[in-house]
Amino acid sequence: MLSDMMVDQEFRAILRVQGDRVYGYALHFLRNHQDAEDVTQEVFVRLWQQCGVQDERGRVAWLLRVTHNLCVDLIRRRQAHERRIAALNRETGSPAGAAGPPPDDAIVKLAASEGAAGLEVALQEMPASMRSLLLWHYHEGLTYPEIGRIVGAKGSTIKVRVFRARQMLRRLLDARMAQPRAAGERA
Amino acid sequence: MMTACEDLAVLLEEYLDGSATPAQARRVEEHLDVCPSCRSEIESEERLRHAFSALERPPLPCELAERILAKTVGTAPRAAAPRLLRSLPVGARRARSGRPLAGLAAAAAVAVLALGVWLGPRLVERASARWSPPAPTRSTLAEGSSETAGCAEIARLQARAGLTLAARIVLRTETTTLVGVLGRDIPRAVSSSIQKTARSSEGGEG
Repeated sequence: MLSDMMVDQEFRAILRVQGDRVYGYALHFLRNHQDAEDVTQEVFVRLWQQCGVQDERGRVAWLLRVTHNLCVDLIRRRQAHERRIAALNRETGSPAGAAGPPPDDAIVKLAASEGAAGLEVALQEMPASMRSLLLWHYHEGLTYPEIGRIVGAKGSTIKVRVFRARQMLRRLLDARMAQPRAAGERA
Repeated sequence: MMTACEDLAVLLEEYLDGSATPAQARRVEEHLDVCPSCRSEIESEERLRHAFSALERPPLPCELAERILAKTVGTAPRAAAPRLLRSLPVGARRARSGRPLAGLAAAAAVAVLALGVWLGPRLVERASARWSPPAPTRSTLAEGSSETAGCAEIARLQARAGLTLAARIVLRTETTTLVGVLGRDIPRAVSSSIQKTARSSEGGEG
């Protein structure tokens, strides 16, 4: 039977190795520090409560799957909250736009270059499932079979989905390049 | 019938990853030399990959790591008991050859024997605290065997309690382990062996 000390050490090692990946993915997905920290904390608390998955590859898939699901849940709650605020504003006659997106200073800028900045914006305009596929494949460097383990699909299926997501992203990027730059662009 | 572009689109990713074979890479490069459309496609793909690589990789904040550890390490993890079994490869858990089970059974047996050796005398101490040797009588003193008989009886009880306890634990551990791993597919020889052990342990002679 593993001692408590070994369990503690193993968990600390997992946090040290995978913490950046989980936090980084949540931050790219949510673009909000506080939300990303909340999601990251919840992921590792759940990992601790379940005593984790022993296989290394399975562990990465589990971590990213749970992170993704929590991010999606958070976005849905955020959108539902915004809709309620918007409905309340309509009832009370508050000015429109009061329930708009978070202010720019709250949005995390994660681009080290102008090209990456455009990529960030375009990613946010994509459906969450497609966004995550592209982040997993291009940013995390996961192979199609590894992504398949996360979402429960074959590698060949993932390859097709990534291809379609890439096509959509290119259309969004091309459209942005064709538009004149506007101040206060929606994130 | 697939066009050359469609045919090579399949190889595009491998070519960009550097995982295409030399022959495949040569085919792609020869096609790119004559097809501006595919050349544009591959350049676009390279720009996309470069943009993704330029996205920052923020490290886990130290304060967040400390908060996570405060909520986890030091608190009792749930389901700690099955952790040993979970760490076995799936194949070993399902093995019918019994060889992977031998290691598990051996470890369990060692643990049980150690427990029996440690616990047996303590159980007997409790029992012997209630048992007091008969007051020496003239006849027993004359025989000079009352203390010796008492010590022998304690030793006998000690040995019997330890063996009985160890046997019961082995039986229960074996059964639970094998049923948990093999389900209903316990080989007949194994279940017979368990039953024989049970009979002899329950009726063990002192």
